[in-house]
Amino acid sequence: MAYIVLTEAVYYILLSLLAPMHGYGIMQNVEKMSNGRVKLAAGTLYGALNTLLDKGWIEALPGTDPRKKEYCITALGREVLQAEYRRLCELVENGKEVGGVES
Amino acid sequence: MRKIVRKVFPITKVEEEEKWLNEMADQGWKLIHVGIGKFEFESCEKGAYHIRLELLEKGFNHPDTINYLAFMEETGACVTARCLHWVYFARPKELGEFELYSDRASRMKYMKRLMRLMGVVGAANLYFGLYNTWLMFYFNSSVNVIGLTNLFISGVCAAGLWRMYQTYKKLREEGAVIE
Repeated sequence: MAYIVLTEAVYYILLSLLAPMHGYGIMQNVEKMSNGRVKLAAGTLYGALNTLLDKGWIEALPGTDPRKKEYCITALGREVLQAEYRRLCELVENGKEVGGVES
Repeated sequence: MRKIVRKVFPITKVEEEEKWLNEMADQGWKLIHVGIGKFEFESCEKGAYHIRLELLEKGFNHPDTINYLAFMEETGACVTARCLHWVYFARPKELGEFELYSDRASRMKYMKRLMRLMGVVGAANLYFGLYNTWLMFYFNSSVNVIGLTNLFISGVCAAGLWRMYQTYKKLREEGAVIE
């Protein structure tokens, strides 16, 4: 997996889509997971979902109401998410090791 | 009850237009129709709606736009009016904050769309302005109002484009260190 740095929005979208979810569900889930800190605006989410579909990191589930599409992460998307998780862990570990960052 | 307000906002004053429409909604007037320089409102509960306007990337009937508007509707934002490539969304305030773009990348992408429109309108008006003004001098005729209006509009667009580009540049520079 090539070294990819995800935006906060994409990381949270992929994390949400480990379970199938529709657009509005993702917005609510991200806000809940981040304790209200990250609020995805609808236009931003729509653009991100289309980009992720193009990249093959997520897929739209067939047979769902086109006005309320459900999405789910793909195997490729999981790989990207795991690579990003490892990168984030490395950042935290290094912060702790240097000791300049309070936990 | 309905009322019509005649008002003109140039494409460089999108934020002012949105602010005014929200003030109207706060006073109990929900936008229901937009024409060129004409806004129609319907009485509603004071402060019940949040209004946002957006320049669409594609035509109103394009499948991508239909998908986008369906997606927006799912989030509670319905198209309350439209004019050319502009759509006006109304979302009940009880659903929470209503923003169209929440991160730097998507804001910059949208700003590019607005700057492209200002550039096209400005360039077209500059072309016709210069042509009409040239005609005025060539035929030694009286002052050509249309030509001067074209030049004025192109100047307004250039100023708006410059202002927006400064904001865009700042966002891009900040993006090098913060998300």
